[in-house]
Amino acid sequence: MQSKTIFKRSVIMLGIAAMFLAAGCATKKPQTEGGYPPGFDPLGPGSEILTGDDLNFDETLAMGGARFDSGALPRVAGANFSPVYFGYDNYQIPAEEYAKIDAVINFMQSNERVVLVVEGHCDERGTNEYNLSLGEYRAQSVRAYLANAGIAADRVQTTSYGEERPAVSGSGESVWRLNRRGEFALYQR
Amino acid sequence: MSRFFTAIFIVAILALSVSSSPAQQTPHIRITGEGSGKNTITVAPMRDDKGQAALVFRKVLRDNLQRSGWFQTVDGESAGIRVSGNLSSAGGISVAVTVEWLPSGSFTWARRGAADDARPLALELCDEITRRVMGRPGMASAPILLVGKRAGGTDIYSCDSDGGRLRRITTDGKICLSPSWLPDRSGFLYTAYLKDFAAIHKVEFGPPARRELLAGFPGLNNGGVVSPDGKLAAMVLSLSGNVELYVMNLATKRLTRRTTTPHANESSPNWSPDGSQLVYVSDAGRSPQVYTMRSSDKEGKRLVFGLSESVAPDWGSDGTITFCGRQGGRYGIYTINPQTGGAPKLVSPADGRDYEDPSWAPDARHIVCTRTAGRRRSLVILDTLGDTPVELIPIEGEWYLADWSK
Repeated sequence: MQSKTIFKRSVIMLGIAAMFLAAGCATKKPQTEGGYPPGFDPLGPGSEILTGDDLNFDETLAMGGARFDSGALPRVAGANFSPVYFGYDNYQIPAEEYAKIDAVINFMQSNERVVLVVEGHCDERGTNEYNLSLGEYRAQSVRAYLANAGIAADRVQTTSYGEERPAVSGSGESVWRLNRRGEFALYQR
Repeated sequence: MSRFFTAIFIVAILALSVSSSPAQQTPHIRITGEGSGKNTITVAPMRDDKGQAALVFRKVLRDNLQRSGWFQTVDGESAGIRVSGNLSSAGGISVAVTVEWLPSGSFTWARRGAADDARPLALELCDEITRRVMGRPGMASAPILLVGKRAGGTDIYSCDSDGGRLRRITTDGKICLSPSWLPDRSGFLYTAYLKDFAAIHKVEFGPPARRELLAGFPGLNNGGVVSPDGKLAAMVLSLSGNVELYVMNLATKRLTRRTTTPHANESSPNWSPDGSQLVYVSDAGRSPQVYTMRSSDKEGKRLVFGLSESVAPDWGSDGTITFCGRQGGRYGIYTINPQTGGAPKLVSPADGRDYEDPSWAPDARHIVCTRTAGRRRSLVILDTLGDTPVELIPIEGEWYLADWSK
């Protein structure tokens, strides 16, 4: 009887011990990873910090002359000229592209109140910032050609879109060569 | 006799439980360099009232301790570093914790706030643990600016270092790029085509929120970045007829031209941590490469050699420069020490995808960059000590051109 009692107590204590050890060794299931719960849209209503009504657009800096492409001047209707295309990572105007710029020169010489913004563009390769500079350099090359032909400097401005406004979407040289370009936007003063 | 066996039993159980406890092993803080052998940390000992704010705090803390790269979070109450104490969601969020690590390190930390403060407070504690335990600056509480392109157009967004609290800041839906934080994080500069030309704008969060035109000169205006002391802004302009690097005095708006390269163009300026130098890109040497320039220099000095291109540099808090380099037709993220020079070190995976536009985290260990796969751009956090890259924003849209606040 005594041995049975001892045995019974031992089994109970072993069970308790097993539970004690198991509690110490148990691991919780890892929590679900991921930053957003299912169905949660971080851009849902109320997510904007600044809205158009909150912004106080204040031009505190006087610009060196108004920009033709600021929206104040109307575009010249029907004046569509072919883009000038450039080589990869290059700002020099290929000789075969001169005729396109000559056509713009002729038009501007015949229309004294027309002013021009040359827009420089790049293909998608390279960083956005460097392509903005390269696009501007291409536009400046065309501007210099126009100046050499006698178009007054104050009739020509430049702007760059870098790789931000491709003419053709996609990849590969057949697409890239169509995006490495200078375009002509004419305005009526 | 039965009492004797009971006593033996109890002693045996106690002996077993003590010998199997990890706490018996003496923990020590390891400073590792290869992303392995991390210090174990547990937040399990923290008690909470199961309220939403407390649960958010616990999860954000745990997740970001893991993301920091210095710690391996473990379940259970035993680890080399223990975070214990109380979290309460009553009336908002209330945190009172103790962080302990052997042999004798400890600190207490207590904060209260609204329920929405649970996340930022957890990020703040994560950085405090990193600083106190590892002796290193953290990255958790440093927000990130980025460009997002979704159905509504392109705008500037911000998010926490782990991609949480993603918010659209501008609502113009027009082309924008090059966001860069003001040094005190009170706002940022960025380039926007609000009137169909590239101009640099300054946004201040306020309140009230305010946006002002900083540079809208004829030609190009891009790459605006404010110096660490908040007094100057470096930028790229072409108002002189060529694309050059300028510095603007923000009080007087007067410009100083820093480069004169009539047959080359510059881009992507950034300041050294002490504001005494600029790092930027120039193609004066026929291909775009990274240059540095001290305030007293009349011209820049090329820093990077051996790559067909090096662009988009950023200067880290420990003096290391990261940049995007092109080799073998692919763009990758590199680091280089401008003091010692030497060969740049590739820190992005060589997996056939392009990695561009790096920005250092304030911990000078992690880098956020743009990864392009196919035609989709996404933001990825790289670890210069070898941990696996992590995608920052796993939701639909294109996310790119990030700037990590320093």
